[in-house]
Amino acid sequence: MLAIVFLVGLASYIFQLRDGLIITDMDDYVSWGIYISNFVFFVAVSLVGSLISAILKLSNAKWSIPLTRVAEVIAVSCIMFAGLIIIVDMGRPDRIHYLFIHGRLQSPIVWDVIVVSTYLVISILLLYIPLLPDLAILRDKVTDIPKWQHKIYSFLSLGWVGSPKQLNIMHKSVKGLAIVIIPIAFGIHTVTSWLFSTTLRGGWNSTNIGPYFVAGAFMVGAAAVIAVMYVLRRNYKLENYFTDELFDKMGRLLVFLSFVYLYFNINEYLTPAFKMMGGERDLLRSLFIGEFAPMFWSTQIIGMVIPIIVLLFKKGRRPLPMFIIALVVIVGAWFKRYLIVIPTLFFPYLPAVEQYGLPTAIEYYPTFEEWSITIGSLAGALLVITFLFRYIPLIGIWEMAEYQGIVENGEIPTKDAAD
Amino acid sequence: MIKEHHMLTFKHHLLFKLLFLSAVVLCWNTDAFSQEVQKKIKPKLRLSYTKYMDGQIEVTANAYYKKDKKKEVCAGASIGFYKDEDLENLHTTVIVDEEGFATLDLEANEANQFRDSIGKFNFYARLEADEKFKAKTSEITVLNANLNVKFLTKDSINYLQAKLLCFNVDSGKLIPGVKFPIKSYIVRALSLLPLSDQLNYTNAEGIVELEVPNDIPGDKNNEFTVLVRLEEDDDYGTVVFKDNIDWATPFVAHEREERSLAGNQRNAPLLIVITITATLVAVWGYIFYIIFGLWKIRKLGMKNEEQLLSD
Amino acid sequence: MKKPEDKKNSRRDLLKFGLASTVLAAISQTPLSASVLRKKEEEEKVRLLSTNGKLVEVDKSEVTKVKWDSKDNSTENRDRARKGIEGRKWVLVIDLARCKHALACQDSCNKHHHIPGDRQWLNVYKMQDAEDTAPYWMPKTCFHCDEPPCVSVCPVDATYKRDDGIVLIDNERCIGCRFCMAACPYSTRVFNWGEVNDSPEVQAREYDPEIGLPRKMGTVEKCDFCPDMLRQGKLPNCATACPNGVFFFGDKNEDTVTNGNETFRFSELMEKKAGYRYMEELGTEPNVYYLPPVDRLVPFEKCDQQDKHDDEEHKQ
Repeated sequence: MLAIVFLVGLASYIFQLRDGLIITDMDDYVSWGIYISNFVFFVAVSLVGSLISAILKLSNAKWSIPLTRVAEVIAVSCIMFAGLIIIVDMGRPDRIHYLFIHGRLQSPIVWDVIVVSTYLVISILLLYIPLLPDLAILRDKVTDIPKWQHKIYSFLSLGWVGSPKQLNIMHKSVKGLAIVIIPIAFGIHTVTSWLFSTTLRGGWNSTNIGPYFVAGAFMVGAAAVIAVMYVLRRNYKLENYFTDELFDKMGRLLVFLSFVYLYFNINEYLTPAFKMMGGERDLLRSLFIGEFAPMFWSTQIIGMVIPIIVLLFKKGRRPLPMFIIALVVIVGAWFKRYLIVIPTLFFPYLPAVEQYGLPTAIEYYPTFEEWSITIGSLAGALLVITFLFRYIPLIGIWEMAEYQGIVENGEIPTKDAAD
Repeated sequence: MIKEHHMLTFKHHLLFKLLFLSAVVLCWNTDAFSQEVQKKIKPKLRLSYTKYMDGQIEVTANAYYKKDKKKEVCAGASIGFYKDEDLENLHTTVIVDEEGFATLDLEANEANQFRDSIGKFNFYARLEADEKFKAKTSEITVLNANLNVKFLTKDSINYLQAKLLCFNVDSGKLIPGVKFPIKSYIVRALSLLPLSDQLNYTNAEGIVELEVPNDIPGDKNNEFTVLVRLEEDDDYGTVVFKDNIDWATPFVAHEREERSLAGNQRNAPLLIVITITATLVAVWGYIFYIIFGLWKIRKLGMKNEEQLLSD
Repeated sequence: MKKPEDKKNSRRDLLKFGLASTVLAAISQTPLSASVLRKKEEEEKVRLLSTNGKLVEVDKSEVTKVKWDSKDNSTENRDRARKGIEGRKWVLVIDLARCKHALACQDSCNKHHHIPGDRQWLNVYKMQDAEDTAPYWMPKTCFHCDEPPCVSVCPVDATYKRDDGIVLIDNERCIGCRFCMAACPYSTRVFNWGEVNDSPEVQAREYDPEIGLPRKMGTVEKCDFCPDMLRQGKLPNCATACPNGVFFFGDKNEDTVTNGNETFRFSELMEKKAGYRYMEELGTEPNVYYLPPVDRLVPFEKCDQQDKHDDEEHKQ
């Protein structure tokens, strides 16, 4: 099913390559549309890799260990599609190499390219290196798989035998990468936010935008992990690993992150609304009581306030309600990014005119092709996640084993423990 | 009866054939139904004479016509410049350009070919008839005049002093031109900047003195070009004097910072270059170190396998 | 025995013949045939410069295009476009007191750059600064800022500021990210969203950023102060076309601006008529100055050349 959605998106993109970006509803006023807001969304979700693999792990929150694999897979998949969707948005994707041979180091886009590619590589490494022991287990113990799959496992497991030297390298690498990825993770979403705040437009001209974006990213990332976790728990019957307690802990984490995001949100909107400065006045009016008001208030209330309230109660932190809340948060977050990117473009300083200087209304209703490419990319990200989970363990086996105290530090656990 | 009938129809056939052919032939030749009526246009021809004091003389013919109250130019038509009134002695033919002008360029000594015994210069031009235009002749007669400008500074004020000498037919000599309006300009990139608002007339000695302000910017050599001319006089045409003078204010080169901090030049500010390069080198260096570690793991694994196998 | 049939046949023949002849006669009357016939009489002529410097006219059919070298001059054009015209610093002064919304500027700009009507580079806005202030028409070109935000954000150096002050776009370098469009606060840039519909003559040209032709799909465009005209010593098209002398263009180094008829010293114009720049507080340092609409040429209500754009929708 997901594949079909993805292929429809791909087909639309081929049309876009041929006919140009005119198949979207973007025009000279709304020159950035849902491709860009989708890009921001992908970068936001991918931050969860650093949140769980790095921040939580380094701060010794051992309860998060079952989630590291899920988090990294989501991170890798999302950051990959972030890169792909930004290529989709380019007018001349055939000239993408110019970014490297003619790049200007002063441009925020070049900074974004640098940090995103760095984050992608580190996330892949953070996914791959702790995967080595698991690949070794799959290579050694799992027998009822086709030969080509076995060969791939052997090749990818790099001859892992669990020797002390190998373990040493692995532990050091993972720890080192976990430290390095934190500033880079903060970097990617901050630099992405600078794509907006380095312009002179009202609504984007915000000093608060870096922390605002990063806080939002952590929140939606946590929600994404919860959602994926629930689906995997249901499909693979992993109640023993993705325990109710784990959901409870993630719920608390999500509430905390949501409070932080709410704080930044209030900062982002209250101070401009107090002043109603020219250039921002029309935008804010439109967000609060005008054209975008329904979307604005539903993302704020349904997407943030209600989840906080529900999750404050223990009953709300049970798996099923949390899954629903997580989905609500994710959808709300997607529309929140839409609200960040598009309404500002509706209110330029000079009036919007058509050919003879007569005023015209700015409208933006994304076309079918735009939606299909966007949803196709989301489907693609999910496809990558499911594909990866088909072939690799959802939970770090040795990590879990260590956590559960089944084995001493270093030994390869037996198949029973691995399950 | 049948025969009669046949004959009738046969005749009819012939008649119709004839009618048809004649109709076709008529339509072939007649222009009665064609959309445009081919009638030759009567153009207008105006000649003007310009003498440059550096030795060039220009006789310009402006060929145009009025269509629906709009002025259109006779681009592409040929204009012959003749030395005599009967238009037999042709000097050159020039094609009218897209803006409607055809210019005859002459050196000062070449212009003597057009000089008559009294000392007048007579130029005759004819727009040659072609499919579009009827022929049109025009002429212009001018006398020689010289306009020379001296640059002087009196009491630290800069002046240009223009002297106009006009050819007098009776005496056959050049005498000062009195009460002629002289216009002075500074030559700028796309236009001429007038040096005064009102007209300056030559005095009894044919001299006009005009102050040149000392706050006019010039080029890199601190020079600007002054253009002084007598414009479109009936007897003497246009006489133009042009020269450079270094009275310009010092040229301020607009230097752009090569590495401006605002980041809008091609070369990034040094700080950004250093920071980004340093960060990149550090982080990716570490990444390659990690990848190298992976390779080491593989090597260790291979070694271990060998050991196990050899056991 | 064949009498009635003969009659019928002959009548039918007659009818057919009559019909055919009238049809043919009608066709021969049409302009189509007439023009086809007339073309043989007047061959299209082409004007060429002969080797001895004279202009001659030859039949178009006798001329064949020969490309002397297969080298494409677009690289030289692009390099030359980056350097700019030496020693100049171009500035534009727009006199708002004279603008009558004739839109001759926009039409000539569109024509010179072969722009379809809906992506015009020059816009004339109806501005009214506050509720109680008088409305006025404000023509707006690209401001060619001295601190251009568009240049700062371009990731591939496709838009750049030259030494003569003009901000140009190299459409061979642009990757279509549209960051410059987001960064420009004056909404002056337009984008080639779809396929380019230039005529074959335009598409056959060698690319020159100084006129921006031929245009490329997926790249950005904007007003360029007509550097191709400036190199010939001519004013930009908008300045020449304006019937009311609204646009004064010139070299700031020479402190002179002209609208084709009147030439003034730029500093004098600023001082006497209180020139200003639009939204100075944004800090982009534009190179387009405005003269406030004081002592208007024509009252605002009487502006508008309605005969040009006589359309029900466009009546204000």
